[in-house]
Amino acid sequence: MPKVLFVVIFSFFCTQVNAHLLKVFAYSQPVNSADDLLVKGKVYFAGGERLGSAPIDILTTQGNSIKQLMTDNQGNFTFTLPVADYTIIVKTNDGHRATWAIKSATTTIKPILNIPAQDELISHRQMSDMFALQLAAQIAPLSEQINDLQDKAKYQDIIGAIGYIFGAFGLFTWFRQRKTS
Amino acid sequence: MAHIPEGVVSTPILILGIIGAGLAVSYGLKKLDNDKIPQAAMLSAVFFIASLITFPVGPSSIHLLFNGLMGLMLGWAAVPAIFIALVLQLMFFGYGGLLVLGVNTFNMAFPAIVIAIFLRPFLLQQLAQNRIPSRRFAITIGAAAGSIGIILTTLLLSASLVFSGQEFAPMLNVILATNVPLMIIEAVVTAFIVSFLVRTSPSTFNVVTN
Repeated sequence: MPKVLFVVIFSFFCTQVNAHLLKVFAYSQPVNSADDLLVKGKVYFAGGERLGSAPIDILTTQGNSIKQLMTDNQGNFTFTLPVADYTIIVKTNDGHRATWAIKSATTTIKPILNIPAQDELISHRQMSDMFALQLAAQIAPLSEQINDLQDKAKYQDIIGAIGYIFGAFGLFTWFRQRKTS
Repeated sequence: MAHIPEGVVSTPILILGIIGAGLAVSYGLKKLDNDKIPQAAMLSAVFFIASLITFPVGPSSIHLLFNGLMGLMLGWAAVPAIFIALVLQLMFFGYGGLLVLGVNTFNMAFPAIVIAIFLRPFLLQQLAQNRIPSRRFAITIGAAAGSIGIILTTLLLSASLVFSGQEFAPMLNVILATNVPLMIIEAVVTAFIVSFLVRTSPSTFNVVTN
């Protein structure tokens, strides 16, 4: 038992605590006057290790496969498709599977590029479109950071879960004792 | 590897897994002796933690399982211990899924049952003769438990995937590449733990006195 205790305590000091979970992350930005969607993403195990040469399948909302590609050595991938909603699916051969949904509505705003030459002032609507476009490009890396933060297995979670494990066995003991007495 | 996520396994396998796991857990709870409860809780926590420490190997990542060790130490009681750890891993970290919980429990607990039935009696017999088993014996039985745990889990995992319609050949390549090193590591670690426990506190293995 001391050995087992040692293993439990030792594991708290391991710097790399990874969830053993395959994940795919992607963000998109409009290109070609917002007719197409440039999607960049990565495939990785939660906690950080990238998964190179993983097969990726891109499905339309109807569930048809529209494009297949592989991640590069660093687990990154890039593709361009007409603006629409897509689902990215990654499957490994040993039973891992991960999905990510791309929503075109939240990422693309058709910018109005043909500003009338006779009027140097741009309308309120054009202005807000341009801001939205800029903003989308700016927050893309930020959303990646948030995603990374959420993936980290948190020490509070681990300690809490161990508490639940002992609690469950404690409840079971109590149940047993009530039955026998 | 060992935790199959939702949406991979076909419905008949899901149902089989739920039935198998349900029977095994209820029988395991029946066999869980009052004296063994703290040990079961402790090993459940070890199992829970072991899955969080992963190593990248080839095209996948691996982690220790300890289901061999649990089978050797707890016998049938390893099944509810594994089940509870899997439930907590699902709730806290999203490993596996609710519907495949049965399949995952069965894949990891069945090897523990096999070890409890076929290997544990040898160890208990040695301990019952009231002498400390030789170091070689402890290391052998520990290594056997560790490797059998991984081999059987791998076989069950492959079977669950194959019967769900996955192609066999590419899967076999990945699984062999990742699970052979895992089997060796698990055998070494389990052998080390068992030989240590047998020599320092043999009562850990046979608190059941009936």
